[in-house]
Amino acid sequence: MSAALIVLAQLRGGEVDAARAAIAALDEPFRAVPGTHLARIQVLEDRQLLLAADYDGPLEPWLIAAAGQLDSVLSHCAFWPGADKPAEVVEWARERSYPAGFSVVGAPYATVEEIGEALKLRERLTRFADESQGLDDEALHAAWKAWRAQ
Amino acid sequence: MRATPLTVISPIRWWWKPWVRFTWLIARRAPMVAAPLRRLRFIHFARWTLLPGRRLLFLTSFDGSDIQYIDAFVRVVPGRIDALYKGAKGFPGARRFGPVARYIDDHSHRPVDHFWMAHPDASVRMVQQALLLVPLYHVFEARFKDADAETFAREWRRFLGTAQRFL
Amino acid sequence: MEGVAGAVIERADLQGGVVRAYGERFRVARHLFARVRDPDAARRFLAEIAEPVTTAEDWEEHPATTLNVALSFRALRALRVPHAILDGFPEEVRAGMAARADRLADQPQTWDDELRDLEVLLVVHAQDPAALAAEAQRWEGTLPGGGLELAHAEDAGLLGGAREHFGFTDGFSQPAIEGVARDDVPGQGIPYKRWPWSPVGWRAIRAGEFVLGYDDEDRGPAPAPPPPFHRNATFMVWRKLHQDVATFRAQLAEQAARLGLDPELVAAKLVGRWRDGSPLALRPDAPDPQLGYDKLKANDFRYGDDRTGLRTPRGAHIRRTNPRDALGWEGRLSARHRILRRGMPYGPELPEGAPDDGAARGLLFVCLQASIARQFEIVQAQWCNDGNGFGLGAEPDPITGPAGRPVRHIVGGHPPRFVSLMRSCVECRGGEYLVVPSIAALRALPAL
Repeated sequence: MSAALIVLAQLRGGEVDAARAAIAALDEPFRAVPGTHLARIQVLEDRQLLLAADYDGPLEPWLIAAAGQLDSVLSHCAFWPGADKPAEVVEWARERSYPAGFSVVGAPYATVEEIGEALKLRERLTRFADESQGLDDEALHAAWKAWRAQ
Repeated sequence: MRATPLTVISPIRWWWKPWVRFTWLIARRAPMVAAPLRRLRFIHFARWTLLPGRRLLFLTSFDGSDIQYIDAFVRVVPGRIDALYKGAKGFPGARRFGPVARYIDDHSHRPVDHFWMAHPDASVRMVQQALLLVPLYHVFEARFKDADAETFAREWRRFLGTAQRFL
Repeated sequence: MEGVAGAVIERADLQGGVVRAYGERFRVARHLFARVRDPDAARRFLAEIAEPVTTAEDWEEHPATTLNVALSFRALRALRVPHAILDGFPEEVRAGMAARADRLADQPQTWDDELRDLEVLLVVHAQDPAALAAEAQRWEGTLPGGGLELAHAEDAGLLGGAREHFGFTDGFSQPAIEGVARDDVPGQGIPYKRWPWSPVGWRAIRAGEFVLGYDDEDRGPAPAPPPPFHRNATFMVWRKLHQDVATFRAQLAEQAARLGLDPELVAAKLVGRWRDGSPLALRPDAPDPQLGYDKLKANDFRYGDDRTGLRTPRGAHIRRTNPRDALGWEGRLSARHRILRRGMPYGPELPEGAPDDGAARGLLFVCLQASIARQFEIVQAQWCNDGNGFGLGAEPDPITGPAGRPVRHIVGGHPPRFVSLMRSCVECRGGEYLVVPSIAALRALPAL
């Protein structure tokens, strides 16, 4: 079941613009964090940084991987221990996270990978169903076997 | 990317905090509370949490236009929206689109500086359809992969007929 | 049918052709586009035109011609309407249709030059071409003295049998407006249940969904610009839609052969109605000319009992553009996205079987609504350019999807079939968003 992480952290005084710049410079960091369905980073007023994600658990490996990718941004947060200190990273995040009281999730029980595979199958299957219309039984069977082997 | 993110922070009245916690307790045990919201099928993720300073945080990502999103809440689940927001300062009630749209506009935090999705071109509905299609297909494949051509063709068409709403 | 207390629309202040179409009798029209050259003179001209402009009042006898006027935001700026008023116009109208190209999947860079930056629109309808020519020329002659310069003219005319160029009878399914709809409104209004246990019926749509100044379906006055544009006005979407009839016919024949189906059935499965107008929902196997054009019966259907699209495919054109209850919840998610269509075909008919003659033909698409962003734009962007609302992923409308985009249209059945290897044959060549002001607003222009 996909889990939610909602972290609200204080940015260091005078580092709001630097944090924004670091966010703008990010290049798809979550692609390198397996199990991430969805993630957002936002600078809110009164110097708060919001990091929220929906991911396939457990939390710690995900968090440690995310920290590695987001070090440039999180380093502007107060008391950030550095991505190279995994135990402290987990503790830092726990202290600043808020549990989701109520959730609505479109597909709560599938992992990122399962969803990807399912989407691919749906597309391939629909295309095959389209292209194989009108084939006689023998040809259809042969075509399907060939399609399946791809 | 199909989905749009939204971040809404609502200041709430002191007495709303315990009430909202209580309703969430019930809602987590009663799937029928979230059921119509899920049946709307455009919410990838929607999460509500309470922040310090008596603020209700709402994070969501949804398919389609924001007009449709708000319209759906107002026309299909206004009771549930009221149950979440009745005690939010300045919330006009969930029964009319115009005031709710203005409320959301006033309390939205934009821009969402960085937003990422694993499958950006997939809508919630596509994901759900795909996840329903997979086991149906695997059952068909397991049963008929070694069948003769005539049986295979007949069963393939039957499979397509059964699965067509997921294609 | 439930009689709901209707708003009394001030017919004398609302332009004609809005809540009620002029009808088949007025079978030709000319759309005159003019640019503002002298703002003061133009303001006076428009104030004076308020007198001959056709209103929504009932006629004792049909006039020979009708006259309407609409203004783009560009025109309003050129007329030096004060900023306080301009700022109150909706965002999409201020931006203009070209700026909404991403949303609409349009390619403004390919638009006809003369259809860019449109300003003032005068529309003359007439009962025959001679009357049209005389009246239109008369107005064209008055433009220079009115501080306006004629930029472009488009002629339109109904084809035989109220058809459009792909051969489908069109235009007879329109929203039933409260206070206006004279007849019982089965199928033209919104699905409606008086009590939770009542059977589903139909009711008319509140006037404010189409005319500013009246209550809309949000149970309040429709959001509107400041006076004098706040009342008895509407917003118009004007699009010249080129139709490649020869390609459409060729593709239809190819697909019919490929699927081993009758081309008329394939055509009906793309649109949702047979060419004679009878809906697949009521006549799934064969057309029924008697039903086809009967306004009261040909629209009385829903999709709730056809969720899989076995009769009307889930992505069929009429199901996408007016989903009725196809989105669930007795149509609540479609109610606020209705449009009034008032367009007319242009160009000569291409005879059946004739090769492409390169002539310009298509539809001068005109629709009216209180909110272009909520009504037209959602129908086009979410329901025609995309299929997700109907569980069809990114599949576009086979008729009005983005020009040239490949189509894969699922035809529900046991087994389902796919009409594909087709491309949409409709292309927007230009247009604009305009306001259709009230008579009072036109009169008020010089004083603004």
